[in-house]
Amino acid sequence: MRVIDRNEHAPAAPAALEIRRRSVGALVLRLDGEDDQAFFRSLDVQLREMPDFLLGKPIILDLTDVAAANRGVDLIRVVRQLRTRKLVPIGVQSGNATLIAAAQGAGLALFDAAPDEVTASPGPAPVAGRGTEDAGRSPAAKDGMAAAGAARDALLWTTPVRSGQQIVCDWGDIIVTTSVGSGAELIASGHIHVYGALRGRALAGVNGNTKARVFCQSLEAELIAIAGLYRVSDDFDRAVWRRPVQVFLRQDSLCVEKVE
Amino acid sequence: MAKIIVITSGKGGVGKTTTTAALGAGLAARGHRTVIIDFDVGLRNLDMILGCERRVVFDFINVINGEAKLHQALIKDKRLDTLHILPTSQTRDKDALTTEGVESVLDQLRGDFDFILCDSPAGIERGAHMAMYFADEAVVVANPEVSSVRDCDRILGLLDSKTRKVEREQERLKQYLLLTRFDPGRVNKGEMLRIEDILEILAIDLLGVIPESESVLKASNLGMPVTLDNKSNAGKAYLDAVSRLLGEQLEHRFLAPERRGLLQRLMGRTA
Ligand SMILES: Nc1ncnc2c1ncn2[C@@H]1O[C@H](COP(=O)(O)OP(=O)(O)OP(=O)(O)O)[C@@H](O)[C@H]1O
Ligand SMILES: [Mg+2]
Repeated sequence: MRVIDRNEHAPAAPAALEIRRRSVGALVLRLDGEDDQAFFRSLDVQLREMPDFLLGKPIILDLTDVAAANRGVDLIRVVRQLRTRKLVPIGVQSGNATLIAAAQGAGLALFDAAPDEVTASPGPAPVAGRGTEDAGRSPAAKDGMAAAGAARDALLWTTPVRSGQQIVCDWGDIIVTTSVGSGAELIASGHIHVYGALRGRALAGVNGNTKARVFCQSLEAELIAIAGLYRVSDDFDRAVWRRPVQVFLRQDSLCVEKVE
Repeated sequence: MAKIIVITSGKGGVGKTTTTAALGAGLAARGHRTVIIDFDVGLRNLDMILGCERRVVFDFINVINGEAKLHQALIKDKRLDTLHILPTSQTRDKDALTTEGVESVLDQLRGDFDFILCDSPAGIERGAHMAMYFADEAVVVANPEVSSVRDCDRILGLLDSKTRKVEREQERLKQYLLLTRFDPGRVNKGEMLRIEDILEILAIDLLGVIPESESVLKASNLGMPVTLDNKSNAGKAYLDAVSRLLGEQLEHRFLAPERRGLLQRLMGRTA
């Protein structure tokens, strides 16, 4: 058996088994303090709207709220329900002793809660842009995604984002150097920067990062959301319309400020 | 080797077929061997606009299905011997367009022609996809209105990802915008989008601006592509577009409202 560990010296033993350590980027889902039904209802909405964002990704269940509410939770059932939705729960974090025992019973690993979940996510996923059918794997999309590897925490997009295209970056910021067409969608766990007109939708901080912001050269957006709080085109003040702006959250309200 | 150009739009009824016929006849009139293929299976009308509907025996789908040879389905234009039409079927649907079938027909045509123009159906489904898939260049047709421009943007996204050129050669195909049914008077009144605004939104090269013109309807009823009647402004604007397609640099014309004569102004109001 051969064990390779980045932190320790590997014992030199020949074998058919190779073990390596690597860190993975998992998404953290926080279970509802009161009620699993409510959790699954919101989850199903999320899955309908952005299926690729969660499907097939490793998921850690955060038990902070469940522990605080001091309620029991049938983790075996929760895991089963997640799997039928094609999600891959791998472990839990932030539970109390009872919950941790239940988690182990359900075959889940224990994780330490990361100090800052959003920035703790690892480097670029292999395919960052996803077009409903457009962006994603296509070479033109790759060519638009210039030097994505160069900047570790941002996805750089240099060609116009067309109506119907969706660019998803679940490991950092999205930077678009051109315009975003009406009917196009940008989804980032971090900030969104658009150095042209933003005419489509921009959803920043989708993992719940309330510090995420949206910047654009000309606000003409159909919708802007930060950590799930959104405003649509009609809600924007005419004073900021077609102006360079930044959008951010202040005490649970979405603020739009000119940056001229 | 022919250059394959798709004429597409997303939105329906914006002038794709009119444009395909006009550009095809214009290229043929300048001596380029040109074939026009109708991809709008089930809604055959390219042959009518070109005035050869009474000569259709076999069609594109027959050739794909091996029911006829390509040369049996190709119709030679009576006015220009450099122009050919491959009509489509009125009775089948878009599923008849198989990738292999379309590829094999295009491969057979490539050696014998300089230009192959593909008239796309509206929408973004199979027919539109097949019309654009093998293209080297694309002419995206739009009217100066919001929904048409947005559909255009959608099509440009597909052209950037769902064509063989992009898949294989990893390079995007050349894309042009052709604005048609342009009415400068209505633009000035704010009822239609301005050219500058459209170009700002779409960020592609402008192949031409075709004015709204009665002569287009008249010409298509006569089965005569507008470029063969170069007296109308629409015909002239299309001929300019043909020149630009061939790499020439020309100013855009007919962008200002036409000054109407006294008599026309007096007569204009009767209804
Ligand atoms: N420049 C123009 N001025 C006036 N009418 C025009 C002009 N261009 C096209 N039309 C008219 O618009 C109508 C639609 O044109 P056409 O059939 O070429 O559109 P299309 O995009 O091919 O439609 P479809 O999506 O159904 O295939 C026709 O009646 C045509 O005569
Ligand atoms: Mg048509």
